[in-house]
Amino acid sequence: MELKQDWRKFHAVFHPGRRLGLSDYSKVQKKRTENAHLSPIVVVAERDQSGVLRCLMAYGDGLDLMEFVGATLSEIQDQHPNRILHALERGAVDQAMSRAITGSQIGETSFHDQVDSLRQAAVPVWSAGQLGANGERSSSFVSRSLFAKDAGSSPPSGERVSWDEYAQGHFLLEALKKAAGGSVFPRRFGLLIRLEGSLDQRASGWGSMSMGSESRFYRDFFVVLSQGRLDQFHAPDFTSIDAAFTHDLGYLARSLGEKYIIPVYGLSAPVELWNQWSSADAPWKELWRGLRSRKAEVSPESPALMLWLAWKRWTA
Amino acid sequence: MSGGELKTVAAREPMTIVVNFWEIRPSMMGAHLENLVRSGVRQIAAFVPWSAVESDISHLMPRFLQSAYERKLQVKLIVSPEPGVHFPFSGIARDLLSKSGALAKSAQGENIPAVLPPTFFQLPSLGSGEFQKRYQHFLARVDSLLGDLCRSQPGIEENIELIVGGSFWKYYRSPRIAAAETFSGLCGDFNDESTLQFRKRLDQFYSQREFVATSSGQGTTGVDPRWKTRAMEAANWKAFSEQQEQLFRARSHTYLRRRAPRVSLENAEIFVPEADPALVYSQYAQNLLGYTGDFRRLTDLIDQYQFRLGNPAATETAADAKLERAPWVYWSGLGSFGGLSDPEKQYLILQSLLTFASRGGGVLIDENEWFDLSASFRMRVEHMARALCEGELKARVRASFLTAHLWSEPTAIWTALKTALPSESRLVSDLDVLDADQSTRLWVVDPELVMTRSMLEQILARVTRGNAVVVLPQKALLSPWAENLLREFLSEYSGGVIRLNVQFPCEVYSVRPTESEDSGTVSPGKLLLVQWPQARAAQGELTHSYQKFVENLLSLAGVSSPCNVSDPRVRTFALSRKGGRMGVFVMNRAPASVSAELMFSSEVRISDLASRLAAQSVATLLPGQVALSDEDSFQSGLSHWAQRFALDVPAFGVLPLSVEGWLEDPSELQERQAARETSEALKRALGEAAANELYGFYGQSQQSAGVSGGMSPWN
Repeated sequence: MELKQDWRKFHAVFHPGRRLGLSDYSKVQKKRTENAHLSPIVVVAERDQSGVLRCLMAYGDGLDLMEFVGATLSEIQDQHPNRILHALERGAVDQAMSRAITGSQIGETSFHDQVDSLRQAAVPVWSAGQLGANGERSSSFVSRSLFAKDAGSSPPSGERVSWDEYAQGHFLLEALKKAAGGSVFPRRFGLLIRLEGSLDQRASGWGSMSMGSESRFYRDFFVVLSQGRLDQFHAPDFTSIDAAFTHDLGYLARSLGEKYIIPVYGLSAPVELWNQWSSADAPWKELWRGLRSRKAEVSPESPALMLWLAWKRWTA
Repeated sequence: MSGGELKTVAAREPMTIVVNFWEIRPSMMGAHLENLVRSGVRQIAAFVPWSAVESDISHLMPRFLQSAYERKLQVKLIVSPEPGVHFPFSGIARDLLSKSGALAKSAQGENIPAVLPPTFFQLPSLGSGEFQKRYQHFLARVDSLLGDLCRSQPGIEENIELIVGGSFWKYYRSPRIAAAETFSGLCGDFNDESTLQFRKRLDQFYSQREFVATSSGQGTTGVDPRWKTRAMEAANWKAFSEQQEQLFRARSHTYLRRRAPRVSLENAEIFVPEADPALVYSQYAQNLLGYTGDFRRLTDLIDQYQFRLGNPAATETAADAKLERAPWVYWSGLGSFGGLSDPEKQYLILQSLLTFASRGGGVLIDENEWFDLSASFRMRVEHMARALCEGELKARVRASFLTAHLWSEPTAIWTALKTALPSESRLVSDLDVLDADQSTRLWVVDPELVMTRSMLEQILARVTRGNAVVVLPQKALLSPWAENLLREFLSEYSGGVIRLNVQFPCEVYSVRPTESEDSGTVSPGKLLLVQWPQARAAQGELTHSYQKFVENLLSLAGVSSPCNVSDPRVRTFALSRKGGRMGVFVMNRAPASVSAELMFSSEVRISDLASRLAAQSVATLLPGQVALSDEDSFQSGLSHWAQRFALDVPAFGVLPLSVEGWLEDPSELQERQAARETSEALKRALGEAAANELYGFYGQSQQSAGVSGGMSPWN
C-alpha cells in the first residue's frame, strides 16, 4: 500500500538524525551553551487569577525545565539568561492546533502543512532574552505585547517570530521550494533521490532495493513539490522496471515523470556523502564537489540545472 | 501454546520489534522478513490500522502473516486502535474524525488532540454509536481475513496472537491539566453522547435492589438521592469510565472469535508515551522549533505509568475473569523519542524494560529505532529481557490502592502512598486481584470507590486470609447491603478493637486467619477504619499528615522500601530474584556522572548483576568452557556486609546490582545478628582449639586452614 506521505522515510532521508554517543553529547551540550541564541525556550503559559502569566509547559532543546511549571516567565528567564524565551498563550495554542487539525480533515494536508499552520499562528505574547556573545546582538531585548484577557478569534498582537530560522529545513528542499515556479523549475515537479549504501546496512522496508555490482543496494525516495509545498513524499515503486534499467538514474526519473505527468529530476549519491551534505556548514559547496568528482550524479544534466547548482555553490 | 484460548500473559519476548506491514511492498515482504530472521528476531508485532484493512485490495495483511509463518516468525497482531501508528490518523477512518459528535471531549469540555506525524487529529469517542458500528465492522473483517487464512493455511493460527489493547481510553485527559500533573483530574469521555449514556447508567445502577433505601419496616422507598448528588459526580464518572473501557474490550473479543476461534486472543495495555496528553504542548513546541526530544518528560511518564500496570481485565465469561492485562510500552520514534540521543534512548529502553517486563509485559519498538541502536546495547537488552522472561526478575508490589478508575486522579492518600513507596506500590481498579495477589501487604481503599456487597465481601475475605492490612474509610460509599455486611463483620471482632487518633482517627480490628489457612505461618489480618478528611479542597493542606499516616500504615503492614539513594537525581528500582535475593537497578537520568550513596535498611552484600545475567546465557560459553554454577558465580565478586555503599553512576546509566541478605522484617534482622555473633564466637573457639591441639597449626588464618564450621544460612 503506497503511503503518499511517508513521514518516517522522509525524516530518515532529510533529517539523518542526531546519532550522538555520550562523548558527542557533552560536546553538543557545550555547543548549545555557546550558541544559546540559536535554541530558544518555548513556554506555553496561562494567566492565573491575578492576571500573571505562569508557565504551563516549558521546552528547550536539551534542557530539563519541568521544575518551572507554575513559575512566572521572569523566573525562567533569570535561570536561563542566555536563552531567548518565547511565551505563547495556552488558549491561542489550542486554537492553532484545532485549526491545523480541521484543515487536515477537509483537504489533503500533510504533517508539514499542519506544522506550517502552527508556525504561522504562533505569535508570542512575551519574548525576552539576551543573545549570545558572538556579537550579533549586543543588548538584551524585551518585547511585551498587549494581549486581550480573553483569547478571541483574532491572534494576539505580538511580535511575530520567524520560526523557520530555528527549524532549519534541509538545504536542498528549502532551495527547491523557493525555486519552484522560477526560471529553472516549474511550479510542480518531482525529485528522485537515490542513496547508495553497502550491503550490511539494514534494509528497512524501502520501496526499492536493487543489487548493483559489488553488493551495493539503493534506497530511493521520491518527493513531489507543488507551488513551493511538499505534496507527496514516499519510496517509489520500481518493481515493474526492467532489471537492465534499475541502475539508470535518468531512466528511473523519466519513468516517474511519465507516471505522475510532471518533470522529475534525479540525484544519486552515496549515503555517507548525502549525510555529510545534510549536516555541512556549506552544503552546496560539498554537493558541487561531489558532482565534479563523479561521486554524485544528477539527471537530466541540463545546462539550466547545472547553472543553477553552480550559482547555488557560489552564492549560498 | 494451543490456539483459541484466552490465556494469562507472560510475555515470551519482552522486547518485540514492530513491523509496519503496509509500508512494505508485497514483492519485498519475504526478503524483509528474511532479514529480520537473520538478525535473530523470532517474534514481531504489527498494528492493524483499520483504514489499511478497509482499503486493502492487495491483501497485504494476509500476505504479511503468510510470509511470517513461512519464516516461523511469531506475530502479535494489535487490532485495537492505538495512537502513534505510522498511518494517516493512526488508521482511524477520516470521515469519522470529521464528525464533531464522534470526537471525545475531556472533563473540561475540550477536544483532545494527538499531535504526532503523519497527521494531527482529535481523538475519537470510542463509546459513540457511530464509532462502535464502524469498529465492529472492521473487527469482523479482520476476523474474516484470519478465518480464510486459517482455512487455506492450517497451522498458521499457532503463529498469530491477536492483541486487544486499551486503545484511547487512557488518553482522555486534558492536555492543560496533564502538562502539570500527568494523571490529574478526571479521565474520561465527556462528549454529549457519553454524558447521556452516563446518566442512563447512573439510573440503572442505583436502581438495583441493594441501593434502594428502606424506611424502617415499611419496605422500599425508592432510589436514595444521595447517590446522584453533585458530590458523587466524580465517583460516579470514574466508575462509569471504567465500565465503558471494560465493555469496549469485551465487545472486541466477541467480534474476533467467530470465524477464527482457534487464533489466540490476548488482553494487553499498550502505553504510547509520545502520544500522551502530558506531552501535547511539549510536542507542539518541538514542532515549532523543528526538532524533537523531550527526555525528561518521557522518563517521568514511565515513572507514572509504572503505578498503573498489571491489572486484571473483566470480561464477559467467568472463565476469563482473572486474566492479567500485559502492560506494553511502545516507542514509535514519531515524536519525542525519535529525536533523542543514543544514551537517552538506551536509558528509556532499559527503564521501560525493567518497569514493564518485570510485570509480565514488555517493550514494543519500531524496527528502525531498534536496529539503529548499537549491537552491544541490543545484546545487553536481550540478556536482561531473557532474565525477565524466565522469571529471574519480578516486580515487587507491597502496597495497592483500590480505586474506581485507573486513569483518573485518586485522592491525596494515594499521592502519599506512592511517595513513601515509589517502586513497590500500584493502583488497582479490579477487585479480582485481591484473590490472586498474595504478596501485597497493604491494601488501601479509595474513599471515592462505590462498593456493593459483593465487592466488600472480596475485600473482607482478603482480611480474613491474613498477612495483610486493609484500610477502609469510615464513611465508605457502601450500598445498604454492604453496610449491613460490614456491621456484622465488625461486631464479630469488636472485642479486640483499638481506637487511635494518630494524624486521623481510626479503629484497628485484628482478624485471625480463617481455619482453612495454615494459622501457624499466617499472621492475623488487620482491618483499619479511618476517618479521612472529607473536603477535597483541604487535602493539599494535609499533605504532611497523610505522609506520616501512610508511613505508619506501611510500618504496621511490615513494608519498607529496600533502599534509598542520597542523590535525588538517581533512583533505584528493586526486583525480586529467585532464591530470595533481590536485584536493584540504580538509574541515573542526568547527563553527567553522579556519585551517590546507596543505603539499605539492613546489612547486605552486593555484586554485579549484569555479568551474572550475561553468564547465564549458555550461548555465550566458548567450547570447553564450563558454566559457573549459580553459587560459584554468586560467591565471586561479592562485597562485604554493609548498609551503605558508595557508587559512581555514569550519565544515563543503569547499574544492575545483585543484593543478598536484605531483610524486610526487623525481627529477622535481630536473629541474623545473633546468629552471626554466635558463628564468629564458634570460629574463634575452634581456631584456638586447633592451635592448641594440632601440630603445625601456628598463626594461620581460619580460612586458609579450611575452617568453615559455624557458617549458618544467615551469613
